[in-house]
Amino acid sequence: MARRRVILAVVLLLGVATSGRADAQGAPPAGAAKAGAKAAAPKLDLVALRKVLETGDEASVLGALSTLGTAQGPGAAPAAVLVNELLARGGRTPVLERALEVAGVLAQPSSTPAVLAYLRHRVTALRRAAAAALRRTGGAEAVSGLRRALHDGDAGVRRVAVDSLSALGARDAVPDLFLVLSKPTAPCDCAQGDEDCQARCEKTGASMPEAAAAIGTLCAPQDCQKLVELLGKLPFGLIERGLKPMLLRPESEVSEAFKLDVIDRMRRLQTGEARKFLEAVRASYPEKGSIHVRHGLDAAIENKPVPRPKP
Amino acid sequence: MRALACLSLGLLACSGSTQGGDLFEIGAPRDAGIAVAKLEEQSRQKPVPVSVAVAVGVTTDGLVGAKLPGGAPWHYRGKVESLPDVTATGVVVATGGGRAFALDGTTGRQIFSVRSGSFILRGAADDGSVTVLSLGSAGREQSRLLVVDRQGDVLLDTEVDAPLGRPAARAGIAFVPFRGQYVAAIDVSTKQEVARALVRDLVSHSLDRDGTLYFGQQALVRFDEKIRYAESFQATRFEWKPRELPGKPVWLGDGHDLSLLDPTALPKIRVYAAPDPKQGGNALASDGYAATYFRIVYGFSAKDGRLTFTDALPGDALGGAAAKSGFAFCDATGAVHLYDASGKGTAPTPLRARLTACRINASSLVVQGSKERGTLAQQIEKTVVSVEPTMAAAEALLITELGRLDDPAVTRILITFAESSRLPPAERERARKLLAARRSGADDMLAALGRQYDFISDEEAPPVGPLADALAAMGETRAAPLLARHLNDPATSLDDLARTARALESLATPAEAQTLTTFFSLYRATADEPDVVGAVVHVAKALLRVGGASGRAVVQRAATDAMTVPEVARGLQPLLTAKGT
Repeated sequence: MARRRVILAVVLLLGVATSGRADAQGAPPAGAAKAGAKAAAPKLDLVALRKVLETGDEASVLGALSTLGTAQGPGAAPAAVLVNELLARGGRTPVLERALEVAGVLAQPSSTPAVLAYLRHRVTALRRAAAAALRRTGGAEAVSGLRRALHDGDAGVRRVAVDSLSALGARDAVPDLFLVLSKPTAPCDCAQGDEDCQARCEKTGASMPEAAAAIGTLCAPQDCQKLVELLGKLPFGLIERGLKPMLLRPESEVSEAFKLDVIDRMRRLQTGEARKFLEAVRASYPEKGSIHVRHGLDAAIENKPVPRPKP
Repeated sequence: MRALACLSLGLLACSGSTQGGDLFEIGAPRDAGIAVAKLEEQSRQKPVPVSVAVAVGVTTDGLVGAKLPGGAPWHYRGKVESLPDVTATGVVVATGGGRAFALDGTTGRQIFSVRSGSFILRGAADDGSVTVLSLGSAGREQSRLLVVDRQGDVLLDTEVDAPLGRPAARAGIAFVPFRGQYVAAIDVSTKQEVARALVRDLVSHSLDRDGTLYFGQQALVRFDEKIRYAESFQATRFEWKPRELPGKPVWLGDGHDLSLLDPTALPKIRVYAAPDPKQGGNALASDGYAATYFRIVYGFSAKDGRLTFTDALPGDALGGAAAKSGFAFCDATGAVHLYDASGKGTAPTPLRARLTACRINASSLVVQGSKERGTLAQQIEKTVVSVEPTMAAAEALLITELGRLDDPAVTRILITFAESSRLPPAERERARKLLAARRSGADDMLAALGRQYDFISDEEAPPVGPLADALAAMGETRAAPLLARHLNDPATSLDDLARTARALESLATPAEAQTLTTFFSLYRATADEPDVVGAVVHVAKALLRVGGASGRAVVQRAATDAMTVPEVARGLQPLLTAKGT
């Protein structure tokens, strides 16, 4: 117990201490000189932190991880090395959860291989944490790992993987996202008494609306068209989650003509939920966006045919 | 009249017989079997009537039937209140609406209809000239014996205050079991009992198997030159017992029971067998027997009870029969299915109506199976896949039998069963156990291990644990990379995980060292289940064997790391101190 207190005290001190050592390997981190020009955060004593991480004392290790999570700029890469080592070595579940979280905070692509292993861990919380961390660590391996995670048995893991792929701009993953979208999460994975979840579940047919949102964010023209064609086949509440981000994307990505088609199609549905949707899109539509799209939204909300610009 | 009958049969028993007088009396003096021996001797000289195989089914408005095999179906409309009986000569007999009636089983033409009052059919027999009907009364001991000729004239009509069994008929003599112990031989023309057999086994049935008569219920005595010794246990005796079967099906049942239309499951769970008159003793026709369990039919070897064939019928099996060679079954959809002794099928004979009950007599039929139905393993697969999960008891039998076969296809089929969500958990577990014990079919096992759980495509995880057991026992190192992949798959069940790790202990190669290290590192401090703890220790052993210095270093470090789960650390210590590791 006394040893533990001592280690904890060291960890706290290390949080603010500086070190003459540049990184865990004793070599200066890449880009250190360039970053050094800015006002740098205090350097961490990585040698001492590594020793703490190797003690096996859970509280101390958690403290050291928190300290590593404060690394910024050029200090993030060497800090990530220590986190990666810990992830490779393994540890208790709370330690690993914190390590994955810190790996995400440090956002170093070098962490991706170490984090990927946890996408297959039996502890669901660790899989979710890994999927979230990959969103920040990034890289091609992260995308392929997250695409595999879309096939995970846990809806939470799939949901985080969808969000991470969307954040990573992983357009290659759109076909997988369509698979997730059309696959109901059966039965609805809501906790008992979670009425919000139940209501959402009823609205979206127990499918994953996050997948629709990700598709709307990432889709190429033919995929965007495919999403629109699911109107009437899948619940409106599910598809609208994808159509909104799609309509708000720049016209350089989603053409004006396509957007006007979608807006007119929504108008022709003549339903209250379609009108509410158009109003929500209009409220969020950027002022610097296409004037034709803006006019089209206005017309559709008033239930008038959507005007098309003359060629 | 009696004299005429005696002349026509040449029965020595008639002259000075002490067996005459009132029917079914039990106080009559015994004659040491002399009369019945004479009767048997004389009956051997008489022609055996032509046997006809017929199936008859009960419908909502009457009966449907056809000659077997492949006869044109007929339809009889009228009230039917009993399960009909079909005699060896192909006459269909039933009661309903206060009448007992007989139909030609090949055409459905009515032969006669006579008043029967409140009596219900037990059983019937026919010798080509006269039809003998044993009737009973619900809730009463009272029985009635009717003998009717082809003109519909009632030759004999007597009531008895004792249960009569199901009769046989031969050359004007009715053989009627009574009081569970006797068979009375009654000359239908004189209405006199001309002989009597005292049988020491319970007797409630007289059976005509293609011209040979048998008496009994659970065991049978044959009506042959030894019949006079029946009362001293020295008659030709046929005794047979089926193996333990799902639902505990009965064979002949109690012949004293009325032939009621039974809506319960009992008619669907039956066993069908018959003695082989040519072989004598306990030989079974077709060298086997068959049984039904709702939609499932199966045949078994007389020698050792092993499964010989199986099939799933389109509807519940409502009746059946052991043919002279082969078996016949009728199902609720109104089809009659024939199988030869080896289980080969024929085109079904349609009765063209849904049935609530049915009956078949096929004692003279030799089924010529023309339809190959695949290997026994394939038949089992098809049957198990075709039936509902509620057929678990029969599925269990079939899966167990599958495990006994040497067919290489068995491994693939067991894999299918082990991962089938349609099968009840107990049957899946049975398939898993049998799969673990297989020592052939490695390629099928490897192909199965190549699959992984996938939520999107609904692919289920393969039965990794049993496959790991079997492949390890076979020393199949090709399995190592596949098993290593399942080791790090969260969809692998705890039980499967432990078995996979144990298999890798012996199968892993240096190529799997990295995957083993990943598993070991991820779980040495998070193992919270005994199976995971066990798996980590097994993987440590594998790492020490194939992981080189780096693998050993990983294990050594974990053994002293405070974060390592204590149970894991305890398991690692002896590995590190053991010689040769």
